[in-house]
Amino acid sequence: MAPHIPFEVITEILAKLPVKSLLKFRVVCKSWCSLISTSQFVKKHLSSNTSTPKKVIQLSRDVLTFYSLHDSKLVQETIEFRIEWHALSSFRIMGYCNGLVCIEACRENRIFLWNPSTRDSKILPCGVVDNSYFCWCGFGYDYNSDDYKVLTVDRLKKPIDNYQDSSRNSMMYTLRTNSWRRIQDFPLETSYMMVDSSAHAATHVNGALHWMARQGLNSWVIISLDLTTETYMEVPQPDFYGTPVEHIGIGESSTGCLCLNVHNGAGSQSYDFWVMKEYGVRESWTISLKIPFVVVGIYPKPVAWFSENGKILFNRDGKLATYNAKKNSVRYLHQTTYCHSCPHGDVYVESLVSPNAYSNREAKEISRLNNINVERTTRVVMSL
Amino acid sequence: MSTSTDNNASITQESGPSAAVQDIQKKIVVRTADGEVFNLKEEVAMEIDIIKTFFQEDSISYETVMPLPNVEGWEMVKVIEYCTKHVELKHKVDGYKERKAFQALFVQNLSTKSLLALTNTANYLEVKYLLDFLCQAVSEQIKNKDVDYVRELFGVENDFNDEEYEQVKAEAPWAHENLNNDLH
Repeated sequence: MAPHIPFEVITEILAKLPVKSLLKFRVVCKSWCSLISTSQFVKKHLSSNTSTPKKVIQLSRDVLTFYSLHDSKLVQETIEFRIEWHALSSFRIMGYCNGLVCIEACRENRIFLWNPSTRDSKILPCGVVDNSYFCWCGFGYDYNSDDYKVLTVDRLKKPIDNYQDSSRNSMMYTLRTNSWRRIQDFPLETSYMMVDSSAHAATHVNGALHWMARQGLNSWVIISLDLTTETYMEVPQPDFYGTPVEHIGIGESSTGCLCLNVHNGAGSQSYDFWVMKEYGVRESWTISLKIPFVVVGIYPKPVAWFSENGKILFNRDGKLATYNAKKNSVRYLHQTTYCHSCPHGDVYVESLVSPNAYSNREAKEISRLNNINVERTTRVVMSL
Repeated sequence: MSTSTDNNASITQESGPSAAVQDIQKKIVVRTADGEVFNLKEEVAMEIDIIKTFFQEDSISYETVMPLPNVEGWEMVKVIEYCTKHVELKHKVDGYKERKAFQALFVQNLSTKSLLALTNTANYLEVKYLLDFLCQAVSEQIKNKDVDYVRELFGVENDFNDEEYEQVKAEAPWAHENLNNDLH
């Protein structure tokens, strides 16, 4: 005899299920089916589903790889995607947020939003000047208007002189309006000589997009774009050792803080990971972890923080590895493909969020991609 | 997590020396649906919001035995067990591992049906952290189960006709497959 379970309790239980289980249980009965599609439930699920392991994304050609921790084992899940009109395209991740991934198909100049867990997708309308790639870009969520936004800062096609061109024209796409419009210009004249190609995509923290930009030889600035006000600002940096710093990477910790990966060649000969514990407060920048140069060699790009054990997953020249602070050792994951490091050390959280949530269901507005999500494989790659 | 400077707040600890010291703590008495009577330490009883409200907001004397007609005896035992541990861990600085070990043991011998009944009870008794934990435990147990099992467990009827059912299923056919290499 099954007891009567109040709907509120059922909702609490369902909110903790992984996305795949929820999609399956939509057929249990009509009330469950409609519950799972409501935007309130989608939001509740996003915030309660804390135990489904967070994943880290790496993109390499047309293979998206997720790394997640299951009981101290690092699990790799790869999704090869084939899109009809993209036989030869190269893809780049512009950002990810709330379970949605924003991907740029470079040759075709098209951008699409994709939820790999629900397999829902949406091609964005063209809005930008014909470019081979964007100088700066980003994707994030605006809490105040409950809207998803994509930013691109154009690179002009014609260089102003041989090696430098500058662009500042910022275009913002919002999901609710399904259109692009111009916003405030990017505050810096940006040179074509990017720090590295993955640095152009923003780190999404605290409702704002962030980039680490080089201003002159060893001078750095953190630029942020507030997604609500759509204005650019500078975020205070820590006081770096008094000496110029050769290289800095920016990312997000698993606790949602802004962090920097600083090449400390002048001092402790290590890569220092700084975390801004209180957003916007300069004094709250603290060093969380240091990886000595001798242990790790070439500049490691942080991929994720597994902060419980003082370990960090990073991408070193296309290979993934973990650094264990207690043992001061590095272990490389066995992998066969070169991994382009993701633009930021974000963690991806799966969700039910649909890129078509704001579309008019009847019309041509829904532009889904067919044949996406082919061939998923999952395997354990290492024990941490 | 409380720090070590909070130690002076509690007079008695679980590992306290004598029963006499523990008797100083007030007791609250409840009676479950099957007539069982339970004496709870005040600090544990106050973790259960429905009890806390009953005695504090309505200023009812502790001599009153509070009836809990929607709760079975075995459920009360489990709730007391969990709340007692929760109170104990409040005073510990680093109880993470201990909590995890306790939680694993707590659900070990419970069938999914019992777990669900206990979840319902935790909701009725208004113990938020226990409810959260139990919802998580239930979801772990059902996530890979098939649709028929879930309907039976929750006592839910399938009100889709064949056509509607196929239509909904077709929106995410892969979700109905159980791949061997699925780790979820």
